[in-house]
Amino acid sequence: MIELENVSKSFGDVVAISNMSMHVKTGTITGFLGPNGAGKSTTLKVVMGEIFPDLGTVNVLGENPVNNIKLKQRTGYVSEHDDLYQWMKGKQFVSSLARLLLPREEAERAAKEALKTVGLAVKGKKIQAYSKGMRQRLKVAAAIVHNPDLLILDEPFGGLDPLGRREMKKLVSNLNQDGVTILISSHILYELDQMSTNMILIHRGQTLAEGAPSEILELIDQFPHQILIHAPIDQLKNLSKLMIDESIVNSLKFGADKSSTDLVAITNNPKEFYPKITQLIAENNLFVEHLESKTDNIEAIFEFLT
Amino acid sequence: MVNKQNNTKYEYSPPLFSRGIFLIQIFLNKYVYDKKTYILILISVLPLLTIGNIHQPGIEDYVDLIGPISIFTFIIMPLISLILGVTAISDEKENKTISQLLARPVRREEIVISKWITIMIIGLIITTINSTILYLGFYILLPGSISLLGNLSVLLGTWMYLGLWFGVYATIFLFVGVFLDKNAIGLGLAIAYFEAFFGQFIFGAFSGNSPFSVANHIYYIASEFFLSDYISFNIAKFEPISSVLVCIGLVFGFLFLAAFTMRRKDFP
Repeated sequence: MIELENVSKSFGDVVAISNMSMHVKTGTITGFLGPNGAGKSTTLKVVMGEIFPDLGTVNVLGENPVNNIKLKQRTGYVSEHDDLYQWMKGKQFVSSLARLLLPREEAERAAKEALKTVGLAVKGKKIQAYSKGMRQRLKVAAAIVHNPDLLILDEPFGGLDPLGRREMKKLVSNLNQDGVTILISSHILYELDQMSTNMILIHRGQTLAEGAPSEILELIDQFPHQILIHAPIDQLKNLSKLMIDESIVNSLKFGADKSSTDLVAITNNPKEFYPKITQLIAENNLFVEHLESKTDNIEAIFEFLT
Repeated sequence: MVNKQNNTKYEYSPPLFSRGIFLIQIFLNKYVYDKKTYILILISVLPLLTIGNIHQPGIEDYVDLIGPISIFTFIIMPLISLILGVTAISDEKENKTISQLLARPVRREEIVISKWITIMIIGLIITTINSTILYLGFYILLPGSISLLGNLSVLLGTWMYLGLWFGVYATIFLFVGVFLDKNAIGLGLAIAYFEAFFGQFIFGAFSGNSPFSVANHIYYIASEFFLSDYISFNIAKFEPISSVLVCIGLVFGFLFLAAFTMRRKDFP
């Protein structure tokens, strides 16, 4: 459905994407993951024909996306920006843009339908008074009003609260079940790993990996994960010994202060680590106050993978 | 929150003309809601303030009317056309709404041409309002200077003169706004005032009524076609019709350039 072959794009001295190739298959939800500034938005804009590549070929639904009005009838795009006409009302916004594709009655009906699909039922309120979550939903409604075959979402979870994120995920999954192929970008792994059927990792404008989420997660799991454990000092000592005996850690870092109640465990195998440590704590009747992953820095993971 | 989306696949594609109308409708609405439009209208009636300085002119002495109209044409008209022209596309870029438009089945050049038609409509409205206010201002503030119904040709002539200024300048600035990503207003100001002041007065002083000034061509057309009873002006070795062709050429040349630039432009 989408094929990028050796695409490069620079803005002056800044290389946004470099010799990048990626493929999105029909019917999938493809998670497009990379740290901020990796070139995700540029790539999506190249796919949408908003940016011209310097080199390489771009093929969307078998066609070149630039100034291609037939193709635009089959695609929907939600940008990362707040690109709404603030002075319009929600329904007016969706139906006005739908008029560029549909006859009047059809546009009105489709706008109503799209707003219902995204769960937005605000009457008489101008967009400038909308919350962030409502704006995101409105952008999705405008993008799906014509029932596209391909929907491209650039950081759709940005600024949403946990409930909003969950609803957005559900919406994306439902659209996919209705036959829409989805390409969705994010810089947060956990937002995409469960909902995606395929994942593409991008870093410094290049594709790092492409495949099923399980394969990608396996690759990411090779990154030395750091887990912070907070417990009374005697409990930490016992737990450390057990972890070393069971060989579930590469190394352990204690706080500089001898009385510190913090310990950082470093492991290459988090899948094995988490169940095992829970088992060790339970079997040995240890008391641990707090346990959390410190490896939520995606930039560090990508640095590791390159 | 999710309802099953109706899966109708739409094969319909509105014809070019309809797409243009819908775009113009969206853009016009934007100007209606934009405070900038009303500020421009307010600015455009400022020349009325200078009416008090005119000594009992009498309408046959139209030169006396030229005072405020000159201020209007050399300062305010470039400013209005600059703001409307430059911001036509650059506002969409700045607000990122260009992304919404580019994601729709419309060609980039359709966006530019629809914008151009929209600013021409807005320009016509503004010039109609301010030339009417100017005319009424003379009637009210300088009793006897104008016969309300007897001098409608002045109103019409002034309106066409201002409209021509707006048409030519706004199209040039539309191109500047599409072409430049930054500092479009600054460059536009430089062009506007160089052209309006220096192009006419300085070049004019050294080489007579210079054909290299757009303002001269517009003034020449006005003196020949719109306000021939009141002002007299010519460009040496130039027929009035040549000035008309120059203006038409500039409008369509810059419109073409704007559409061409838009076609090849990145919107990061």
